[in-house]
Amino acid sequence: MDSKSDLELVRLCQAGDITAFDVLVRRHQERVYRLAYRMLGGSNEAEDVAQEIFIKAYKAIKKFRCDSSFSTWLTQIAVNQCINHCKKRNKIKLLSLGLAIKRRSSEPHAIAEHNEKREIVSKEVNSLSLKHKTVIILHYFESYSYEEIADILKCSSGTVKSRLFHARMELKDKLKPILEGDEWIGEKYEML
Amino acid sequence: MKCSKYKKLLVEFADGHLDHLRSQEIRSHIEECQSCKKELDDLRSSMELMGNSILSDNPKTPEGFSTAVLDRLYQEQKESWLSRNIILGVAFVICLLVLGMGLFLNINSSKQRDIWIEHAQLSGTSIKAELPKKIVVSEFQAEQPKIIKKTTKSSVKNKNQQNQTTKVENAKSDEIMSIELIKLLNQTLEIIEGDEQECEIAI
Repeated sequence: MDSKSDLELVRLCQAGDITAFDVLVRRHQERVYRLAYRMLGGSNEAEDVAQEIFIKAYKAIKKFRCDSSFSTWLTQIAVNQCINHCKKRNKIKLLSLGLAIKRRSSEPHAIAEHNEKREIVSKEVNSLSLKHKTVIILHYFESYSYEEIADILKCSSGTVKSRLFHARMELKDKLKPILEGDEWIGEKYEML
Repeated sequence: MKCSKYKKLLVEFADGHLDHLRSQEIRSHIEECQSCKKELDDLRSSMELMGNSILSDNPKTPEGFSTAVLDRLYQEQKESWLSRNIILGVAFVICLLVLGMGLFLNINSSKQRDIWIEHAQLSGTSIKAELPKKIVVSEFQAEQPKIIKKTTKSSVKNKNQQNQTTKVENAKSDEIMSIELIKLLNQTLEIIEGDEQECEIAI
């Protein structure tokens, strides 16, 4: 079963073989979980949302006509599910606030600084609008091409380029303070 | 080309997605324009920062994830099977109740009619009280199609064509019998009324 291609497994699932779906879950779980984790800003809910993504995929698998790759189709479901989840719970701002940056005294300075920067980047990515955050995560974090993102989001690659441009510009401005000096970062984020 | 047009291409240039010709154009522009050069440097620095963040933050799928997904799937399938069967069961009970009510009402109304006719035939004096006026046969006939229609509706519910035709036939024979009975009753009423008038004259 493990040696079968995605499309062969999909056909088996469409015929009601749930073990074929198990193989698909194991094959794509890491990517889906990572995407959910990043879209939800590192929230604990990522596991639950990732499970829901696979359940939705299984329920809709009979409608999948194999005109795109299973991976793209699954990512479509994943992105929609994450966006809906963010909208429902109005999580974006809450999560940004939840990632309060505090330097841990026990950590060596270099590690603490690195962790701070990572958390600040994560926070700033999460503070972007849903459209901008989605393209940033798909392109830079998950390495999807413009065309693949266009397929996933069902829009033109021109729209993807435009969204990426605006998102990058916004992110550049937001990350500017970090690039200018570490002392400033501490002052800004310890207030959170 | 103006700076604003170059700036729009800076992200694609920084990511290496531009073709050779355009990349060359931007390179030569950056050499001359400090503002665009600064913009590109900032973009690259922020990208570097983001890249480091991506590399160092690689979340791993929790253990037993696929098993949990399959467990949830089985659970949901079980629940949907249960809820579907409950809905079917409730619908079946409602259908039975409706059919039972229909049958009960039908039997009850025919029994009542029989009792009333029997009572009318036995006690001639009380007929006047129970039948204050003569029943016009044409009125009675006008009401009959409703009965036939009702019977037809219930037959459709049963989905039994044979029963439907039998019921229609029964309803028709009931109608003829009822008309005959009403005629008989009317005649009885006339006789009673005649007797009463004769008594009054004699008095």
